[in-house]
Amino acid sequence: MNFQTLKDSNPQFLREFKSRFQPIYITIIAIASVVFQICLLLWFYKQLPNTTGSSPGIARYVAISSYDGIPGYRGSIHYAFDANRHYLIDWRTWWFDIFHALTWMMFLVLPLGGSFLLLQDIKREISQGTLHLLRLSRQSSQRILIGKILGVPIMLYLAIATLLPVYAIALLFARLSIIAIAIIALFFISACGLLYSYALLVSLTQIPSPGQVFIGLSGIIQGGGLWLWSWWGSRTHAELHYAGYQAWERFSHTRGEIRNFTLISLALLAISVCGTAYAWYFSQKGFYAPTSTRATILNFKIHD
Amino acid sequence: MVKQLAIYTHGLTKRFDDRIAVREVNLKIPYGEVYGLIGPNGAGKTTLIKLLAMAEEPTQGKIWIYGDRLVPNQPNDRVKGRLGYLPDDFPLYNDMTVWEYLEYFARLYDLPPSRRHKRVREVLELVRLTDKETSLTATLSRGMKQRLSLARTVLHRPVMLLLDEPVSGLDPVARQLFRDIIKTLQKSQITILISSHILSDLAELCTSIGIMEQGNLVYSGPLSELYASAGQQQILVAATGDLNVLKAQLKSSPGVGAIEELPNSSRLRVDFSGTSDQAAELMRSLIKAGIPITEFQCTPGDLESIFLKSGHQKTS
Repeated sequence: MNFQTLKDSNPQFLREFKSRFQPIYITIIAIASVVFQICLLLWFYKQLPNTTGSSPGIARYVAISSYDGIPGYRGSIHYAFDANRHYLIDWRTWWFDIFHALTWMMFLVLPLGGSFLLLQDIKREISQGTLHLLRLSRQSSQRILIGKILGVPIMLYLAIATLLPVYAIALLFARLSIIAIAIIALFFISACGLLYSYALLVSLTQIPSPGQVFIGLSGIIQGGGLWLWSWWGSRTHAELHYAGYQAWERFSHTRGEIRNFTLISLALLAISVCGTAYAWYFSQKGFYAPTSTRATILNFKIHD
Repeated sequence: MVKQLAIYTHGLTKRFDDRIAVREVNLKIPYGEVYGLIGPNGAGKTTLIKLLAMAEEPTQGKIWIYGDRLVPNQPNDRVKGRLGYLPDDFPLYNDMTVWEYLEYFARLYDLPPSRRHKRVREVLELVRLTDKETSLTATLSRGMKQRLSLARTVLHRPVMLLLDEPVSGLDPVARQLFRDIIKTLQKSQITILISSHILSDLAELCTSIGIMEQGNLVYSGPLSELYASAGQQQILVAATGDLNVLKAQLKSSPGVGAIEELPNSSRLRVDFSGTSDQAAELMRSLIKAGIPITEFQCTPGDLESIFLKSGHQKTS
């Protein structure tokens, strides 16, 4: 489906797109993104070690020549030098950390920021009385809500899109496996699906307590995902060098880390998919039931 | 019977916590009728219209629109295509121009691209907003906003309109314009349910009336029957010379009730409870008494006074 087809087939998306995709906002997002990327790269550049000194200072980005010990335990690290006795920079770790930081940033901006925007938008439609006019239109609830999901966070999508070139370069130099990237992408998309569906459910059905439970649940799920990220990203240099890279590259490791990582990721994905389906189903019902109470929505009230 | 009615409700009830806004309303509105809904504030008119427009879910009872049953929590696509709903707060999107707003709803109503432009142009002409098509909706006056909302309501050619207080807050010129638009729509045989506190407007537009009080529909029927059941008509009498002589003669005549002198004119408004023949006899007696009558006009009564005298002014 190309963009023109999407515009013609989903009037709600067109409305959201036209009201938000304004030159002034595009300019602001582009400038903010460029400034952010420059600042991020400069900050990481400042973390590079002094290659000529007797001590490397922050040793995370110094290349390792050998390691006497078992990763995760005490051992001796031997750093790599060039012919002039200058420390060699471990650019791969440097780019890995940039990739890690950008992933965190994307998780904060898109799933969380987007669901906040959706909540605000539906609340505004309800308070100004326009949501019911949408209900009375010939469009299905799915079309309207998909139009909202695609259109309301459109500027956040743009912001993420502007980060993608640097993200792709970081991925390239960190030399991550395709499977690892696919898992990250899946987790990212499922996080968006889950939080956006819950945002719609909570705003359309106006259910206070279950809504809070769902938000809490989704927070735990996403928190679990982020914890997984922290676990991978915050490991020591040596661990990353010997275990992590192997894991990311070949996606297999004798220590079982990768198996655990995969299992946890799949479990999180499964929970996300079930939660998304649940929230999506009831948000459809909520769309047609403006004054529904918890009882009518959650007890599958049947009308003869 | 359901198939023969534009709107049919059975035992329609809406409860908000411990307050009943609409109580067991059985409403029957035939096709093509212009039905006026009157009653004091809080009588349940807006809630009833919202129930018919699916903006509220009934606590009890059933609704049929043009023979199709409304099923709560369902899309009700057939009914939606037939229905045009104008809420009392005429919601608009302030960031859109008049044209963009109507084109957006034309797309939402699935009007094909080949007809979309023409139809938007038609409804703009109907509500006389053609010269405002590039204006932002936020910059329109209240009357224009209401007309724009009406344009949105009729965009998809509905066969039934639900208009909640469409002329509230409008100046006399804007009200007249709105009445003219409703009359134009009336000619196309669509069923219109309209609530208003301006009863003179309803008297001019409606063929049937429903009176609501405390959530109950206490009267529903043709306007002519309401006038007849009220048993009262009014006579406007004008005469040259001393109006006191005319008043004295009228007071001594049978069937004559209250007499009111209209300001800045030599005319009296007389409540009269007699038949047409008795009204003719009254006119004959005035002429015989030598009073120089210049005007003698029977009117079917005043909806406002009938409503006020009916005593149905309690809120729910």
